[in-house]
Amino acid sequence: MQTEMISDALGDAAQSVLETMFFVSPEGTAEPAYPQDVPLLGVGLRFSGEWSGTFELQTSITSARTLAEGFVGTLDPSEVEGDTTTEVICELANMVCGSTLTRLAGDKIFDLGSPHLVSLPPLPRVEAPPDSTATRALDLGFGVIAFTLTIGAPE
Amino acid sequence: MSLRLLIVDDSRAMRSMIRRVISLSGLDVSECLEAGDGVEALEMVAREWVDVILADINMPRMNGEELVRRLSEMGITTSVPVIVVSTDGTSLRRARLMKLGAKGYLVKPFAPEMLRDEVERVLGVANAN
Repeated sequence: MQTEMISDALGDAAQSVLETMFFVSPEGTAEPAYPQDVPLLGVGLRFSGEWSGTFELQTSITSARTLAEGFVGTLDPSEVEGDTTTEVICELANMVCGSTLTRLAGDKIFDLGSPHLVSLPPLPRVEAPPDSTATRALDLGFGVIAFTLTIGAPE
Repeated sequence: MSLRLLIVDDSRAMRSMIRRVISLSGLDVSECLEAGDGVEALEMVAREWVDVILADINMPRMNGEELVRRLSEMGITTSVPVIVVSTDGTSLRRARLMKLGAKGYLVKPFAPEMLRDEVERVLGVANAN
């Protein structure tokens, strides 16, 4: 599968999830880069089935908290401290991954693993042809969020 | 008619989000009950009347597929429709859940009006049975 196709599906899925469930409208694509001193949050999950692979999400902790506030509908930062922010970002990863796979192959069946925190750099790559991985980063207006999908052989 | 809904999802944040979407949907809901997995959901359904169950698929202890299968075997899905709420929108998964006894399927992300339309549709299906 071509990188461009994966990247477009990632971008469309992420845009839809962020707008519908997080009430955030991304301002366009961005470079998946962060200043050295910004603490980051990484979440990864594996999927298996007719396709197997990994999905990774990376953003700053500050942006993760802002996203969590939008998701749970609060203006009180104390409500999204710690575990709640992590849980929300795991849900975001789950939704973007599921939505991307549905867009790429709605006639196949997948099992999504549970999203979990990953130490950065994230999950080791699955064996995949060079054109079966793509990263799409979006400018949230208050930070950058990057998604990477790698598709390997069936499991 | 004021509805009692049961939200089954292992993520507290997602249950809060679904509550929020329900409140924005315009549905007349008197109460939203919550369960963290299929086991809790079965216990709740045994002691509380609910009009519609909204169930995630991937959950610990008892997942959504097993929950739908058990509810169907117990004959509950004929009077209490189950809407599966999942990130997985693939046609095979949808068909598998519907065959097990789910009456509706909602793919995340979803807007409040999509939730309302699906709840109203399955209640129509349930009332016709």
